[in-house]
Amino acid sequence: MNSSTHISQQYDNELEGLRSKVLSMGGLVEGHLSKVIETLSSCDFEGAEEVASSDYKVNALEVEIDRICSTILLTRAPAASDLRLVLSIFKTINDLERIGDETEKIAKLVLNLRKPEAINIYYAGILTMARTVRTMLRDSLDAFARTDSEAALKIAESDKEVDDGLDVVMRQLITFTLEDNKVISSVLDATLAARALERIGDHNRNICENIIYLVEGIDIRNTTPEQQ
Amino acid sequence: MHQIRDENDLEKLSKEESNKIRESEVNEVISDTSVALTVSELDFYYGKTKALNGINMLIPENKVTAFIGPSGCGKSTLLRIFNRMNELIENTRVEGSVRLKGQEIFSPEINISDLRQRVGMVFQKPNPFPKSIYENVAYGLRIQGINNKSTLNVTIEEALRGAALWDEVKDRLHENALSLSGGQQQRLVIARAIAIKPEVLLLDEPASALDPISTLKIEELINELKNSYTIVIVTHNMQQATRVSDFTAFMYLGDLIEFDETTRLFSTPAKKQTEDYITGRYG
Repeated sequence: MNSSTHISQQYDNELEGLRSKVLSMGGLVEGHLSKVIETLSSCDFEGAEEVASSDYKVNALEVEIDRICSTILLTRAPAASDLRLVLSIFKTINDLERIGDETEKIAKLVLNLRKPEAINIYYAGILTMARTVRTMLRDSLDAFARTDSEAALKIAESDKEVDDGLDVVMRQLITFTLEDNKVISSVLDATLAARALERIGDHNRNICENIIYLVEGIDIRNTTPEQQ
Repeated sequence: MHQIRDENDLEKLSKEESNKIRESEVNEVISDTSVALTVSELDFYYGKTKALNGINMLIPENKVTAFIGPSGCGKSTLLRIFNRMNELIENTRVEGSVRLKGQEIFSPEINISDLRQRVGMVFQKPNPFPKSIYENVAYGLRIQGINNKSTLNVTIEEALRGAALWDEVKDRLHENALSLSGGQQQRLVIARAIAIKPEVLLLDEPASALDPISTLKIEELINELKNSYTIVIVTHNMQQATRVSDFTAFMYLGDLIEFDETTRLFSTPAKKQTEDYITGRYG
């Protein structure tokens, strides 16, 4: 990445402001995910309630960052690394917004169940998945802040852990329904939550790909690890 | 060329030249396109001041190549060398080689009028002759000895159509060219240049003196002209370079720093100097 400053100080400020807004949005989404994890581990439903009622903040930030990106494209006609920064942010905020939506979905599913003993049983595997996904998201935001494409590539590859986690959780959940068909409705909700975490992993992978594009100027979407 | 005496020299040389494009590298970018102009190890001096340092580049045929770079980087100088306009300035000197379709343009066998007929040029400010629109376009043809009225009529209409000006002037061909607007005058000058069917068209900031609408018309025209001509354009307007050109050369202080496909150069430049210039980090 280019560390030297623009002739226009104002342009530098605009890009810096944009970058820090993205990090705030990422921080907010990560915070929501942490609250859901808290609820799953302590069965204190306050965190999940807060998440379910405050996703609008994430959406509002997406709209605001979107507007800043449009203005920069219009007024600065950015090139090279500046262009890649604006383009990658355009895409990243979309993924962050979707991660926010999926987190909200999990919060609502947990609130729907509201039974600590059931959560301890059905959501045990999901809690592990959620912790992995949160670490990935945190590391991705770090990699974005440090424009570290090597780290981004590693995190993108670790999405496979989340996919494997989903397989394990699904097998567990199916076993519960085989043992007792009265739990089907709760278990179905839990599969939706597991699926939501797997989607968060995918969006997180997209964010890492955006970082690689931002730093290296190469598009690694739909390539095999060897090609990368 | 430098004389290499020992390893220290070699190291110094590789440091000095690490930013420049070497002769062995020039082929890579335009591998599947045929070449109109080949520039090898070209140096240019204004008196004792060296304005171009060992330029190596290929100008692809029937494509638009843009030269960008800060003022004084040598882009207009390089452009003018392509039809030896530099020789009109006293106390200048060229070393190295420029070949037009394989033929050395500095060779004594080259007739300079023939060369300028093959390599036409349009300048920043429109410079029509104080004659009628018709006579402006006929000028180069008459010099070639073409005076047959019907041949002239056909060729002039073709050139004016080619320059996207015909519909605006067809009813006033015998009015003074200076009565046209700036944008129309510039298209007239382009018509004058293409009337004699050059192979290469050099455009030195052709739209910088024009309003936005006339600028768009010139850009549109460039896009059509490249089907028939090889176009080299010098521009300070980087958005214009991205819109009109297929390839872009970035020059700095007499060096050719980077030459690549335009979209690649403007999205993922290989050299930091290019990046700094196109992102507005120095001027």
